[in-house]
Amino acid sequence: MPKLSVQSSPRLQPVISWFLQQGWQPLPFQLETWQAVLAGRSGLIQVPTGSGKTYAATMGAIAQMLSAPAKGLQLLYLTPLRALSRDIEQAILKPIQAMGWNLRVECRTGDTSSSKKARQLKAMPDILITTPESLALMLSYEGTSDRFANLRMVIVDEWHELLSSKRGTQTELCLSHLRRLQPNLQTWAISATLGNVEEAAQAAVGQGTEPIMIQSNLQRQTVIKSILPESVDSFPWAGHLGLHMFEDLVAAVDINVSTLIFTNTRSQAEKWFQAIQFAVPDHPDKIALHHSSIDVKEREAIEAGVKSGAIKWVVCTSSLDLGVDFQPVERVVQIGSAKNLARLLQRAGRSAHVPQGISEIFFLPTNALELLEISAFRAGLAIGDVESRHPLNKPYDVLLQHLVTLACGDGFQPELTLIDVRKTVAYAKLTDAEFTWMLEFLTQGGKCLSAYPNYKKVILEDDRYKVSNNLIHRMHRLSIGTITSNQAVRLKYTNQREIGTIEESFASRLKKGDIFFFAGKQLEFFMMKDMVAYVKGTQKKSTITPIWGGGNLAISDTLSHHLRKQIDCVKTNPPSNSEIACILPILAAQDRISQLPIAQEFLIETCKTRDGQHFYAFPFEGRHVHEGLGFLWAYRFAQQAHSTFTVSVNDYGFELLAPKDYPFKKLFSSQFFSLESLSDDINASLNLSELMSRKFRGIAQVAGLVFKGYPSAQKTSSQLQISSSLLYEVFSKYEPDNLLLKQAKCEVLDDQLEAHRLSKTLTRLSQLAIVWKETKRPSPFAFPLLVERLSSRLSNESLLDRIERLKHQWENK
Amino acid sequence: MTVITFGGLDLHLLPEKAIYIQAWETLLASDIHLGKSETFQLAGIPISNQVNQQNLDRITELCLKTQAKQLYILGDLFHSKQGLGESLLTSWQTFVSSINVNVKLIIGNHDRRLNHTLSSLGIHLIPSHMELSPLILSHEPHLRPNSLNICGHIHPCVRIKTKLDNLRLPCFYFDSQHNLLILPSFGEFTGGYDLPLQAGVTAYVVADGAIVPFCG
Repeated sequence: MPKLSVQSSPRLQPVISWFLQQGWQPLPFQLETWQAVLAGRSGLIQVPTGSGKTYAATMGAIAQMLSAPAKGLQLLYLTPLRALSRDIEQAILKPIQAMGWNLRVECRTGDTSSSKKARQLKAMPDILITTPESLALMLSYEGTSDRFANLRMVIVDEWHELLSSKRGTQTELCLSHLRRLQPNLQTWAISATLGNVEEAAQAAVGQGTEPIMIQSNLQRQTVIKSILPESVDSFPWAGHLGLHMFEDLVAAVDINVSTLIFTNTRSQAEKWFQAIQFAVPDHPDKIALHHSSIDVKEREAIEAGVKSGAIKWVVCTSSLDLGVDFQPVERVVQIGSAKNLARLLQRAGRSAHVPQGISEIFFLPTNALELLEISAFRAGLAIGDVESRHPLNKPYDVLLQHLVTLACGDGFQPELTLIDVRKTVAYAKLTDAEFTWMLEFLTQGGKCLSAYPNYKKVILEDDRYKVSNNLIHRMHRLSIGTITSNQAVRLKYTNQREIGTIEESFASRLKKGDIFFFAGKQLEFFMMKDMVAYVKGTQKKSTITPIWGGGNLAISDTLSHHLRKQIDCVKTNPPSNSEIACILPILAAQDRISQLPIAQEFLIETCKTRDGQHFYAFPFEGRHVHEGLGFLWAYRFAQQAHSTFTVSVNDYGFELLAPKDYPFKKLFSSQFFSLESLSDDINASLNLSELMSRKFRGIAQVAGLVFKGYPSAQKTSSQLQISSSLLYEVFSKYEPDNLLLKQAKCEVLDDQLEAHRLSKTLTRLSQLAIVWKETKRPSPFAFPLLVERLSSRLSNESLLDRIERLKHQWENK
Repeated sequence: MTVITFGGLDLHLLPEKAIYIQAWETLLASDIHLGKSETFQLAGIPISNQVNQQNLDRITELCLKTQAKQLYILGDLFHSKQGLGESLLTSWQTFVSSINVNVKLIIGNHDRRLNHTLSSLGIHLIPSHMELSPLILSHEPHLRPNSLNICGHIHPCVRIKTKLDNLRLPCFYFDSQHNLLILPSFGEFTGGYDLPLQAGVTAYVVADGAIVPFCG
């Protein structure tokens, strides 16, 4: 344990003085970090929330700055959420103001006024707190080398959240550029629990530097308690809301106890908030709703209310997953499965005030199968299993955006930039050919020069690539935030007061007079003008809640592993927890209608309904693998008998829906488990499905191919309006070697279908005894797949055949 | 053969996304949007200009196949002023002189911005609509009692959905209650706009060289 020794680190004296003034003792991991920082090292701090990580990360840098003052920006603090930047600013200002240190701290995010931003660019503060997008934006202005001339250190907060997303890749790239400007730059990442913490650290500090790993020894126990239904008979087997249990929830929680109620999506949060308000009408001021689409001022007011104790219950989403603690919170409720052990731990952690306290989380299942998941959670927690999050594998769209950013700023020299880019973990394996393709894409447009006569995005000036065109500058700066946002429409009262944002797809369907709930208020749609939707408050009833495209959370692979073991055990040696006890009647029904598979069995069911012939398989490997397997098998069926299949998946299994009388059983064989031509088959199945076109949407946005329009009141220019599916068609036809198309394919194969796990899964399944059940009606396991609304299609029928069949079904509806 | 008869006149709906009126030896097509690729290139989005020639080739083939004497383009022949560069203008002029067809353009909202160049195109220009009883031709819908309005502008698509399948397809959108027939957009690389399949509407869906009607 490092000794508190002021003699050996005189530079730490001011920091330690302030700590002692607060009546605090610096914790061992804090001292360890400060000393590493003073020694010029970089690294990663892994501690649970609320343990003093902010001061661990920042005070070392501050000590350095105090002992060797300089002008301009010296410390850059990156945080993923704008809301957190305010909290960090407050935390850092406390010692600075108390001790009268001569250090200027400022924030810079999308919420900062443009006049303030302009001032900052001219005269940077000593410490700047900002987001990855805002950092990228700064790099898109000229004068970067001067602006960052005295930068000593970058802190990246919530790195576990950023790391495996495109924003994390963007961060890696920006940092690599800053290291070109400042070769001695120190980087410190702050992260919650991760299964692959060394890889995470390397991604933060870049290749060529050895990171120091700092962990606190704080152990925290997490306890799960469930709010269970009285009888599971009327409990749904599927479905997402669990709203019928709102009375049980209200009965289990006390209005005088500060509670965070987590849901998995914004729509769910809205619905639960309404239900709770209805159940507890006497305390409207004590209950609040918090999610990312609610206006920032209202969210700030709610956060302040929780801290002061005025607000007791908050229904929220991952909007309250990150950041500085709300000390008063005593209880945490999770509605529906959190799908992920690390997330569950983090949320539970919010309920323990003291670093070594017990974290308690109340779980409210929304359907029967979630009870199984909770049982699996218990098993995972017991052995301390936690998910890994990996950096992405050279996403071309993010790099393209980064190159244009550099070209908009001081310009870039390709040989040097390639070296910098290869020092990130994400692009360590970028080939020369790939980089050359990107430069050609940016300067020429495509293979055939004459096909792009008007294209002038990036040009070579002296030996640097630059953007010379103001229009391109403007459009690029607007698109830098595209990694995060879906097109959002602002929601305002007719008196211009901001309420929040809703997604364009929902807004575009509203007609004057439509009434919907948002942020817990009843609103009547008045009109939409220039990407702003105007509404009036109303007393009239409605039940429409906005839908956000956020999509389904997938159970983590760690958790699915434990889930399979749960199923294995239930028949032979049932775990003795309350969830399994509750769900036993449903499992009995499954055994009756079909079968409850044991370890050596692989269950397949077929069933006929009005919709067609259904095929169900239950590997219990998690939805991603199921999607891969579903498409592979759909392809292997289709090869024998042409058809159109609808593939639906969840964490337990997958469904193939084919037209009536499709002979699944006749066509199935042991060949379906074959690893021969696996790669060709899965590739071919992709070409027949819509998956790549869908993935391309996000890629096109990041790469700057889809211009969404100027945010300030103007409609998207009708001349530049284009859908990503149209782009996909055009590229597929005229530029089939386009790397962005390749990226769409890779993203589908690796991220979505987890193709690399397929051979392992197929081998495992091939060794089990197949139990094939033809059921009269869908079984409890099948039912959730039957009602799954998100599904994809694979077809090797001609378009005309599909249209004729659609017509036949359409007319017989 | 898909034919709509109105006021004694037979309108042949072609899977090439045009209408042929045999009695008048006249072809109708709309929304070609030549120069759209160049417009995007100027904004830093690389779309190949090969789409332009594709479009011109398709109209040429259609003219030859039907042996039409007249071609009405119901608006949006060109996408933008900036998109109409030297090479595109040359391609267009080559096209006009190669076919033995009288070309007439009803000026659409996109064409309107090219006013000064339009006169050098070698075609007859119609400012807003053309009455050819029992039809009235226009770019945007221009309803008239007792006439059938054939127009473009909308780029109609319909979405047909059942549990088993889900397709979004371009179509000829025929609203018999309002005497309105909207052409699908002819140009490649033009988007579509979803229209509802309500009572009184027939969507003649175009795909795979065939036309399949869906009645609302």
